[in-house]
Amino acid sequence: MKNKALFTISFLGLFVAISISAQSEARFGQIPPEALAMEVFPGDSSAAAVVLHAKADYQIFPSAMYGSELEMRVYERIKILKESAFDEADLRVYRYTYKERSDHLVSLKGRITLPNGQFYEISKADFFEEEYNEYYTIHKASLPNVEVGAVIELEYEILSHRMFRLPAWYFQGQYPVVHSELSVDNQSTYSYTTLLETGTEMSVYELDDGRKLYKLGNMELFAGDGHFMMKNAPAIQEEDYLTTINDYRARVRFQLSEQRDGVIVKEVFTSWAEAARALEDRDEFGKNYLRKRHYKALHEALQPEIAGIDDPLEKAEAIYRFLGSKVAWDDELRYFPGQSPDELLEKGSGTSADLGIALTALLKAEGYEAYPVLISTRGHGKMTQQYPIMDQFNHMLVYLEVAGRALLLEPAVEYQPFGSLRGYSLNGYGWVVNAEQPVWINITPGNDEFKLFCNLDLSGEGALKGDMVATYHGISAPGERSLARQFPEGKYWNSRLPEGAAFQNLRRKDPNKASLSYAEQIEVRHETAGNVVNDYLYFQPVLFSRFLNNPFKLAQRHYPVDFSRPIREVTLTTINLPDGWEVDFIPESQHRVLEGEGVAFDYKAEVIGHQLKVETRIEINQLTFQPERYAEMKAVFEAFSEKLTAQVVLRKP
Amino acid sequence: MKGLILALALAFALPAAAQHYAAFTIPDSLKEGANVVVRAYNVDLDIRSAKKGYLKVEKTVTLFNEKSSANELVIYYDEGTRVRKIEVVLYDALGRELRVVDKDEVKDYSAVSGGTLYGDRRVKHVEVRHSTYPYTISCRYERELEGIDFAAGMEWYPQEFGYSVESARFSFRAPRDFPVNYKGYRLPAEPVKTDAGNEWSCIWEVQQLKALPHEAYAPQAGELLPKAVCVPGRVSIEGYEGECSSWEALSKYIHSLWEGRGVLPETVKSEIQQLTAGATSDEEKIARLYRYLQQNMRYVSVQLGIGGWQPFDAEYVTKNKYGDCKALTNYMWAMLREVGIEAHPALIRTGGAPTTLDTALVKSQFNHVLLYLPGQDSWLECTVPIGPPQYIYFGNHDRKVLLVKEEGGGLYHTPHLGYLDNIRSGTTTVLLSETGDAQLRQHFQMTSRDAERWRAMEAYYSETALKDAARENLVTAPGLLLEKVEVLPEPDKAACQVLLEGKSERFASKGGKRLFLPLLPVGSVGPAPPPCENRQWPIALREGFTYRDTVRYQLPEGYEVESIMEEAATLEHPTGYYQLKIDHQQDAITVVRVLQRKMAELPPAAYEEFRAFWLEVGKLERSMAVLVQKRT
Repeated sequence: MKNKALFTISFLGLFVAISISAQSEARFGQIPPEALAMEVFPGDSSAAAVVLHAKADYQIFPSAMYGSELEMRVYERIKILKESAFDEADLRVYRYTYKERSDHLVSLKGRITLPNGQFYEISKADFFEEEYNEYYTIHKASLPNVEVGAVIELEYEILSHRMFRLPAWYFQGQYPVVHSELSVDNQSTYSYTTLLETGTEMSVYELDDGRKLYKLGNMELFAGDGHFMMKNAPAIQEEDYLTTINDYRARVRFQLSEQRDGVIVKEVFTSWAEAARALEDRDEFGKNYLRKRHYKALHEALQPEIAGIDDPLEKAEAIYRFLGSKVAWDDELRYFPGQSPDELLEKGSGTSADLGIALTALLKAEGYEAYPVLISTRGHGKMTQQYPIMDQFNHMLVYLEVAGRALLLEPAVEYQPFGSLRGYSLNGYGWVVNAEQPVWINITPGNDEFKLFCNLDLSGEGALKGDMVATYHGISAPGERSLARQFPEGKYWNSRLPEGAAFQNLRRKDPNKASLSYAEQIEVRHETAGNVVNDYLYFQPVLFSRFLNNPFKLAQRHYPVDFSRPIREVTLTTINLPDGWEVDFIPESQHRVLEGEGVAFDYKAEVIGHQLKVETRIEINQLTFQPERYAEMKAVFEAFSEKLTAQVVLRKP
Repeated sequence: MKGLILALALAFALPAAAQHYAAFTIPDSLKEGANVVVRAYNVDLDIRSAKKGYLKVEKTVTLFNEKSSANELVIYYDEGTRVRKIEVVLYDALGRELRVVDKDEVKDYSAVSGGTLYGDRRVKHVEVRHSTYPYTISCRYERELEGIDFAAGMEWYPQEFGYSVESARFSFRAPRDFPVNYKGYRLPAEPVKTDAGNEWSCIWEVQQLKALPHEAYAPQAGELLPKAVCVPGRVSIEGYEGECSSWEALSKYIHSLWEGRGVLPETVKSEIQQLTAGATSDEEKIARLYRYLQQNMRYVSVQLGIGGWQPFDAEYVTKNKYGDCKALTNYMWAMLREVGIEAHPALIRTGGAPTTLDTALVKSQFNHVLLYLPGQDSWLECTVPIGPPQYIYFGNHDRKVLLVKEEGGGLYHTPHLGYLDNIRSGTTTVLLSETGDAQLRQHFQMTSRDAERWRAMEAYYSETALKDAARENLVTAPGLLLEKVEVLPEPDKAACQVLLEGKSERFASKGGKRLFLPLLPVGSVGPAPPPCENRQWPIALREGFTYRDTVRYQLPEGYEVESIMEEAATLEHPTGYYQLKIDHQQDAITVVRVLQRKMAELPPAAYEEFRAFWLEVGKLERSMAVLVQKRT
């Protein structure tokens, strides 16, 4: 697979102290006249608002009480250009307030300046404090007198002693940005590795002062030691078939890398091997599957379920099924467990990491080679392999070697087929937590195959009726089974069949089985499938396909299309034609391939005797398409959709 | 038989407490159509005074599948009041206790809705997960009730759709002579009323309620499910005391909360005088002040304590230039008073289809407020920054309101917006090429419902979102690229125009020498009603509208019509009217279609006919013409 580097990733190494240079001056309350006068943002005339200036200063310094502290000063200046951005006058600041680790809000103020220069300022006391949940408090206020043309400012300072996590800084958001910068001044005994991601591909230049300049059009990102500045960044908007939009926003993330005052800080990793070793040593992580006392009860409960099973693969599956039936997943994705396997057994439910650790424990206890695998799900964003940043993960899979095969397992959930992954886990690769061999492994998506067989009779009045058999193989089968469990009467068929069609006698294979294949059969009746006008009968023979409508509607696209898995769909429709009619027209057969063979389809219609046979087939083998290939790719789907909706014409002789 | 023996054997083998919650003891009649069986749901309200009450809740449910959210316990409460003794226990199918949920699993969140800047509503939430169905969850808790949360009264629903009930109870008790408004709806028996010394009480009990189905096009749940309601007849909130004995009394009480909060600063008063100077009628004064409110004040909701019922005063709104519905209505009221125009706040339940309000049960059941102008017999919605004065918005139409008056106001009814008010009338021209591609131009004129929607979208949506909305509601054409969406609201009328221009790459699909041409590329009514066997509930259509469209096609040279519907089609039904007329010349086709959806209430037996009518409408909406290359 061709994989063009989309991200410019830069490691700026460990920095201890920096000299802050080239910082812009933007002071609270000092709005340049041209900002007040602006009526339309020249860079994007459709923008409802524009971020004129955003700035964060992180000062990290030694503290007598906590060892080190982070002082975070944030300033934002936003120009309102349309009423739809009035909500920007509702200010919100999130503050971490979990028990004794709470952050402290040192200062907070907001201001609105109207185009005529009049302004209103609010201070910390004017903000409401809302205890959002046990972790966060929101400070909220609404600036008065908001109108089109107003400039909104927010400035606050937070003191935090949660040194393991420096907040990431995002340079881009839903509005275009004129200027956004981040400075980090670290005088503490902690060191951090900085990870800069530019979001889109940009050209890189080395500047004389040692900084790097990333450039695309007039968008510029300067990166120096502890100082990052972005200019003229466009608005970022969600599109379909994306992993997550955050992957395409320029950002800076941090990972604690070293602690130098002799205090042992276990999360501080400099290599993947060290990270794996540290995780294995942790009571909450490795000990939970390496020490029997953490999984004794669970392991004992397992024994009757595997008694007498000798085949290793069969036994591994029995272990997987046992765990899935014993405990429930609470729908939370985590990479770090919150309870031991025995605690999980007692409580009856847990996060993906709790389930993953318990599965690893049982497999290891039964003599298998098994390890936790940490991943970031598609919605959580891309991973970097170049530096051990733990915060990038949000989910745990389990690696298993059995009968000469390597399998990846989702944490055991009752109906999850053994050895299959869920769609959101297909994010390219995962990291195996094994101190002896801490490797990154590719996660190869399984197939996704859908076949539809239709055997139909057409009446002289244009009614189609007959049987449809839908079969699913691969990743979509568990999803279909889940739908079937949720809607036993099968009402999802109503939205798949054409308007006016109805179905009955739904038959299906056991939807409770955890399997990678599934089939359903229905009797379908579509009274108004055909139009009879004068001596002609017109109808569309293909009743359903996932591609009847082109999924790509945007005229152009800014981010790559990401299908996550290879897709194959075949439909085979046989229609017995009514007596007294002859075929006047059938659509031409067509074979079309996207250059590079990433997408291909076939359409074949033929009449044999008094039967019409229509066979359609599409295969999507290339998983990502860069925006520049979007138009071509869209055209192929458009052509396929055209064929799928093509009409057949019958005529009375 | 085997199953029975096993069940009996298990029943004897298990301790009595476990048998109680075992799933196999549930009779088949209660399992039919049920995702959840309510084993017990007992709610006891103890009204101590006009200020305060205590609530005890015990609920045990058996879940048979994943189709309900009965595994969640959700308790809304107000900051400052206590929720105590939360206990949640999980049992397996045999009724054996699996675990007691830890206290730290009960999460506490802010329950302030997205539209509210700040409020004191909170929620306690716990979700119990278990992997094997059926299982049973038993929970109990106690709650303190105070303030408007207490004064608004309590509604008890023993079942939801898809829930059957083994046994449930609702009771309240109150001090002797303390009045309580109460009523049961669709419950099998009257409540048992008891007088005992210093207090009196009322109890409803139900047993063996079968599951009720959820069906499309049915009235709202509140009109179908059994329920009991009780409301304290006297209230005392933050020192404000009043009665709820009649609608007049409730109106007086609310008035006492609003009183004295409409004092405008002198500067505003003089601004108002200037603003209305020269106005020749009350209508003109109302319009000028309403525009002033719209242009200067913004809707921002803050709900704290009695602030749910009492407005921020006029000074607050003057200073901040924002307020919630009460604050902005109060401000408008104060401005009108200043120029001698009579007005009264009118409490309303806004949004959705018109709901029925039981006039026989006095209860505050409102979530919004309008301003009623008796001199004009019209209404002002004070929270919208755009839109004409004296117009009843669709979310406020056709429902009961309570007028707030010093001497006690009564219930009024807002005007109805029916299918002849909510009109969308459009003209579409399609220039078709011989490849099947087309240039489309559309021009819509809308009144009331659709005009409101497009006016609001124009103000708040990005261009992309507007295009998406147009594709969803106004234009249906394959491969459509919208080049222009222009929304032109009329400032002084509930009317709006929308202009669309776009091209469709294969508007007509090509097959050999033919072009298959869809005749109505305009937004319609969506899917026909779904099949519904053994319909139980009546049909309730509570939204009426008219779509009138004319579509003109310019055909490509070298093509002629091979087949097209020649005769006009007219369909009629109590829920709608449909007419389609097609006229074609050599190089042009004109389609005129009228589609009306009417508000209607029909018995369950009428469902099949209702569905058949809309299926037939759907078929005509998909009408097609076939063009063929002319023989040369």
